Amino acid sequence: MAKIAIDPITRIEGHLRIEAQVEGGKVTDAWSSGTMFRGIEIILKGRDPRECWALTSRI
Amino acid sequence: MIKRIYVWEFPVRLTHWLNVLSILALAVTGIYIGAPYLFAVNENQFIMAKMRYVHFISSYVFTVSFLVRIYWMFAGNKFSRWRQFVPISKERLETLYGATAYYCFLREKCPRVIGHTALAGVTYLLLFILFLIEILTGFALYSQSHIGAFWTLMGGWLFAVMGEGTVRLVHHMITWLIAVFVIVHIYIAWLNDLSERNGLMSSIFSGYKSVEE
Amino acid sequence: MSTVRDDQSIWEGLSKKGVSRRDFMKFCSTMAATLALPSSFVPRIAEALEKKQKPYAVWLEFQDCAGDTESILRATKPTIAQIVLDVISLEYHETIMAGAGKAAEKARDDVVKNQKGKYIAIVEGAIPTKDGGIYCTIAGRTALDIAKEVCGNAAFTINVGSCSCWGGVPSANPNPTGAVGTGEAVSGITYVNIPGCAHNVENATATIVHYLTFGSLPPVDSHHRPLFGYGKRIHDNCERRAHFDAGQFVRKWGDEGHRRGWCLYEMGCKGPEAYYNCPTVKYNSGTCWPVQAGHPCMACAADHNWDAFGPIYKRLENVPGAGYQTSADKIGLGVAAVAAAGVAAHAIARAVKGKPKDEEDK
Repeated sequence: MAKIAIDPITRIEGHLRIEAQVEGGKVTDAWSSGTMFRGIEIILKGRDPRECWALTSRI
Repeated sequence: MIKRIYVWEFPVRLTHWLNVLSILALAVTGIYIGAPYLFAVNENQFIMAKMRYVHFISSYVFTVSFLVRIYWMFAGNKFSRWRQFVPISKERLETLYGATAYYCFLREKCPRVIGHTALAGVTYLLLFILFLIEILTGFALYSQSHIGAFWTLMGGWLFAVMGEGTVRLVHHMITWLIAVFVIVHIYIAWLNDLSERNGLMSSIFSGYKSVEE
Repeated sequence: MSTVRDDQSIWEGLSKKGVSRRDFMKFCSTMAATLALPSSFVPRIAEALEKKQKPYAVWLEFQDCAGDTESILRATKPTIAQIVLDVISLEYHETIMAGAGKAAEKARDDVVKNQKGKYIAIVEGAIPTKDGGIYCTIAGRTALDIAKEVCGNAAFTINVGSCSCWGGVPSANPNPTGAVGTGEAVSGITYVNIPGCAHNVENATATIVHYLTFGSLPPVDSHHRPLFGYGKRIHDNCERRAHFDAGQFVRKWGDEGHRRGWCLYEMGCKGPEAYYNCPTVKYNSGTCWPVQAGHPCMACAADHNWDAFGPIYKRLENVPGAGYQTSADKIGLGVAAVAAAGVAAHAIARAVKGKPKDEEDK
């Protein structure tokens, strides 16, 4: 039984970590994690609603 | 026996009226520059360009008037000296409380002072601080398109202390604070003319106040 | 990613890939123009690119949206392929590199080890500092840790995009993750900021070319931004400036003025406050920039533009304490109205009370 991790997953936008549990040549369990957080929703609170598109488009 | 006293010297009156005219011009053009309230019908009107032109000329008149008045605070007679504006003596502080109480209907009589009451003095001191900030922020904004050490000295250094957006906001808000002052100032001048009956209103033209001996 | 051609110069690499001498000289001319150098410098730039070997580069991404990567993907003079493979030797870039996981990390670690002090670090995205920097990790290491190592050992760092320059979008109020720019997160490094949301690839390429031609980084302003790109105010170079001076402003989206391309000052344009070369260099190989497209400038390259200049569509900052729906003018008018009302009330009260004894006519 082995656990492998591929971090970073490349050729995507953003940061992704994939872990997989491999038993006898088969993947028996897997996990994915987004390894980056910015809190854009928190940043939007209290702002002029007309400028929300400008911030969310940077997600 | 009525005696006429020469209270407001010529430089005081001159700078007062230069301030009135330049502040009026600065406010009318300044409000347009911040929020254009006129609508151009063709390209040849150059409204914004003309407004800025008048604004810049008036700002120089205002700055010079401001500096002359500061100088006169050290060169003029006792009614225009800097001590009128900074209440550091006991009797001055008494007129400060007295005048404030009078305007709040807590006292029947306003303290009789030939020059400025200490309340007026402190108000004008605060006003001059507002003027100074307005001049500095104004020249800071001007320095954005006028490059050179002179303009940085006149106000450009402000950008190192506060952001460009804040400089604009301060410049804009102080206009309104000055407007508040103007409203209150004209009212109080009229009120005091009525209550003191010494020719206060005409004194800013002639320089003379009448005092009962 | 290939790692051969150590002895090839930039020009040799480009010519082997089929770039004509003519196109190469055009590229050198474009670079001279972007750097605000006269045409007499073009031969010197060409000579530098003919002789110099391709510098190694590592592109780091932290709290980003990959917008700056998208920006370089739109480069056409030279194309991104040419940049990646021929002008610089880009050994690591999470969004476009072939390897993943450990292979990717090895590519980066090899450059840091073998080219210590000689490679260029290019950083995109902010670095979170709150809670030990846990809000951005790559291969189990925090962004802060990676930046300290990679930028600390580089010849110099180029921060592309506002996020790596001063924190950008993640650092907008209330900055939940403590996001900061590279210059603030890592002390003691040599760096140049190329802000913008996203940055203009022409400015980044020009900075690299400047380094290759003159052996030094271009002169910068107090925000570490190259003066050739960020020394002039947008308002002074805007194609709609004549409309500003004429007093022709767009008042509502889609009105007659908007159709005619009038000034966007009233729609909140921050051009008078912003310093950037978008009106002249423009985006997407000189195609367009926001104002040309009919949208006001939001000073995206300015420090903390999301909070320092007020909402995008309003002229002034919000008055501290008041919400976004009020404006300085509304507050000012309100205060003046209160003063006038107070004065009127005082006058009425005085009249009602009657004159005090000492004011009565004797």
